[in-house]
Amino acid sequence: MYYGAMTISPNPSSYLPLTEVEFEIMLAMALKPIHGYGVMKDVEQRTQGRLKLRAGSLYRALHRLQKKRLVEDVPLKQGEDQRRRRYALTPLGREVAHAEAERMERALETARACLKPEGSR
Amino acid sequence: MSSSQLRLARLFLRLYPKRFRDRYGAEILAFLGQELEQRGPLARLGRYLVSLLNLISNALLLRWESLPESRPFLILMTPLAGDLELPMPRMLMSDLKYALRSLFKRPMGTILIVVTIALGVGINTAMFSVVHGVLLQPLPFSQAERLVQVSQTDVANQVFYGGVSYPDYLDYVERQSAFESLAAYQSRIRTRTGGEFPELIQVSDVTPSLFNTLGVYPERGRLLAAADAEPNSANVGVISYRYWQNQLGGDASSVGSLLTIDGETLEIVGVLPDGRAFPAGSQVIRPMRRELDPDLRGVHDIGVIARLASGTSLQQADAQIRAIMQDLEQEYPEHNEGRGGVVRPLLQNTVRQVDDMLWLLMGAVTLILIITCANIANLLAARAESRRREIAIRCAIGASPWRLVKQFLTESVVLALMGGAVGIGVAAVALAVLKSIAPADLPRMDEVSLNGVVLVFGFGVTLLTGILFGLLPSRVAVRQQHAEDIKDGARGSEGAAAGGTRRVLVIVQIALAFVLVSGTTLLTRSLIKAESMDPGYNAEGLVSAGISLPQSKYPWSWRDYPHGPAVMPFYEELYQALARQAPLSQFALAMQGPADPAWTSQIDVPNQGPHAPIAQQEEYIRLIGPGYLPTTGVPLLVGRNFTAQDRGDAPAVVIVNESFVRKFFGDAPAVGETLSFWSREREIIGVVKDVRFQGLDREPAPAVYGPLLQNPGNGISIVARSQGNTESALRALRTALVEVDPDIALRQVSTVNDLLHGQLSARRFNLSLFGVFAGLAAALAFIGVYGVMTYAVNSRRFEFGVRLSFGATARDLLTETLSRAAKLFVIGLTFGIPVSLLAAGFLSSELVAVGVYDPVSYLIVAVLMILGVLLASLIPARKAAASDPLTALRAE
Repeated sequence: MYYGAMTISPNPSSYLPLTEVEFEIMLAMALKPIHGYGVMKDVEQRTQGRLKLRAGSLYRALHRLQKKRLVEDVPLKQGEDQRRRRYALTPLGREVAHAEAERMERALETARACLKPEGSR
Repeated sequence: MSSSQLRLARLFLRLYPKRFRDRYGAEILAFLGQELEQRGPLARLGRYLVSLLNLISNALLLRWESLPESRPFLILMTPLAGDLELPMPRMLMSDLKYALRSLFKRPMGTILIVVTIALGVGINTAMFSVVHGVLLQPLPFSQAERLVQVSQTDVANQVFYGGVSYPDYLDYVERQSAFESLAAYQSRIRTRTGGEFPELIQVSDVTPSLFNTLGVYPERGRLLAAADAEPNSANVGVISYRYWQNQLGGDASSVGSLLTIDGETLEIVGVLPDGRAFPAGSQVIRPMRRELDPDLRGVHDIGVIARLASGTSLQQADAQIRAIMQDLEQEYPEHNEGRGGVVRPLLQNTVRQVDDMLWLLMGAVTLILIITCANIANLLAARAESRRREIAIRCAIGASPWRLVKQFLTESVVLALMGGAVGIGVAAVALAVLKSIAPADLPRMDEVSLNGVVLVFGFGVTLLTGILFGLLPSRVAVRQQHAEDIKDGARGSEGAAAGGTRRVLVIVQIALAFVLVSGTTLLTRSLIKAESMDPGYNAEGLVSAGISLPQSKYPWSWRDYPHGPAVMPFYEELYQALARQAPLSQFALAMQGPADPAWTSQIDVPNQGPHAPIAQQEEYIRLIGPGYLPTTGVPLLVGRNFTAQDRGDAPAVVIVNESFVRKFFGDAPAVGETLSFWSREREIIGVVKDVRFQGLDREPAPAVYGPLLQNPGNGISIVARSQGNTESALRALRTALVEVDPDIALRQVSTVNDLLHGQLSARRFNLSLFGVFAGLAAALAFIGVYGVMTYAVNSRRFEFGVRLSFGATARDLLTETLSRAAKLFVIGLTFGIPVSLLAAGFLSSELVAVGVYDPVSYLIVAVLMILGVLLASLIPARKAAASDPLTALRAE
């Protein structure tokens, strides 16, 4: 990575589209920092059981998000151990999440327009 | 999480790159722990396994994400990994070609693996197809799960699947509200005349509501209607599809043609669709024409089925029938006292006699599947070992380890696919064989066909095993130092660990094979004992045949009892005709033949000894002519035999058997005592030895013998002996019958020995299946032993060389190798014996005169198997003995 790259903020839309798992994880930490197990519970609840993240998938996705700098881990407070580490969206991550939501909205509008049935009902 | 679960999870964590592990490892373990917390034990285990799989597959995906090339097998992993993040992969032809090439570089190994997979999957599929077709598949009627059988019970007399009487059936129809419809049926073998020879035919008389209840529509013509059951309507009937095709040639003009059964002619008005004949095996179905006869409320000679009304549950119907039976018990105490009712699903009722055995067989093939997987694992591990050098060299010159993993995976999948394909063929053949050797009375065998679900399951299991163990070579690839592996004759800690795994696998195989072989041995000894069991009479040279007298010519009903104005003259004439046959030295008439089970009836024994439990019992009744006991050779222990004078209105007499005396009179003499059944008091005039009329493998039951001449009926049997051979005796029987009435056919014409033999045919069938499975299991286990010993010998070549050069003889090495094999066997035995004893518990209902803990059986098995094991290790042992010390040492 170039030094220079550190100061140039990348274009959020270059991270799109996000996978479903990535997006859901990011939504889970939208409001406040949250640890791994909490992410899983939140996603499960929000998708009404449709998306059940297990340990392997969750942490692989988190790893990916962290590599892309969309998610960061919150520094541990004193006395907290590693297992209760929490994650939060980076400012870039927040932008990317918004961009993804907008993209989905536009896609939905286009789809609705194209799929309107012939003639009126 | 338990500590072993924790350790296992940690182990699989090591699949991840170190940095990932350091960063997330602790968290992941904590996550798993939390996930498992709030669940019940079974859900916990399931969740744990799924999480493990997820862990593994994500590890692989993570690894592969760093590969620049395409990733063909992600498509396999992604469902488990839960994320389809990477672009759709495509199968690379070159990967496939490479895999095939490397597989066929070692053809023997490849073929062995493919054959093993095929056998395991194929036999499993075939057996499960039988279990599915007979036990699990719904009956071929519309909404068959709502069909039930209504039976009666008499708990005091151990009757649980009892028939219903016609008056009771009519009351069911009137008083019930739980059923949409009910139907009654009765099935008998009758004689069809008018053809070239009289022909035996299975005829069922049913209430016309039967077809409605089952939901059957005619294939041709029409089915029976309520009007057909009216007393003066024309005689009609429908025929089964099979009868139409086989006996009438599928001729379109069959509908409308006439059939003569027992002298009565009926018109065929329709043909049933294939497989829909009920009761099973019916060839002609006629309308049941009966009037309500209150005296016959105690004659339970019909079966009743019904269809549950929508919204009614089985429990509700059952409760209603029970309540109705209680009412009937109050209203008609002399017929219905002690009789209850029960409603069961029709399927369950139909298969109740075979379901235990079939599940046992299913258990056996599951063991084979496990052994097969162990064998596959072993073979793959052996292959991994032999390729160790090749892999190490490739890694040393810079091949990417994960590329190799991908290659191994391809090979495993290809092997599994090939094995699966061949397995389908094996399944088809095995199923065809099973269907052809199945005993005739195994229900629903014609509904059995290859089951796709099980094929996929068996295939999936072997695929999984293949993948897991196919990845063994990758352990080599992953390690950093390859120099050790490149050296000839290398064996490091890795070698020992892999060898250990293989030893464990072989021990498991030996143990499981022991279970199967010991089960087979127990069954075999049971069969041998059953076949040599003393039936209680002299079956040598004895022949028997059965006769059904047609109602039209020889009308008989319970009203005529104890006379039989139409049938008695027939007995007399038949008797005379038989006496005229020169070849016969002895003959007799009876209601049931010596190998026929008897009827049971309510018997009152008023003056019983102190040991008899209840006054009224349901006991076996056998009706015999005066010549029966001497002809069959049943010894009369006390008292006298029946004579020609014991007939009609003469004082009613009976003879009882030893078990009967023991049950009701204890040690007190029975002769002179009275008992009563069928509304008549009878005096006991003699006691005979017990006879195994229910089959050689069943204990004799108490029985009462009555004189045929005092209790006539329209179905009788003849038993006879000849001075010549049995052929001449059978011919004499036929001749005699033709002289009396040429329109009657003999049925079950056979030597009694053959009949006894036939009673054991189901047992023999089960045994042959078990035998095949056991043989397969043992063969697989021996192959496993061979593999392990070969590996052990190869890896110790250096050591052998050293010892030889220090003066050990070839013989020493041979004995040592053999004793190693023996040690493996003994360990396998220590696991196998307790499991066998446990499994034998399931067999106990099938065993005859052989205990579950029969030491002789287990000893036989142990000896057989140790011989096999030693034989299997002989080749590698000889190779060990033949080691040349110089070559062995030089290799280092």
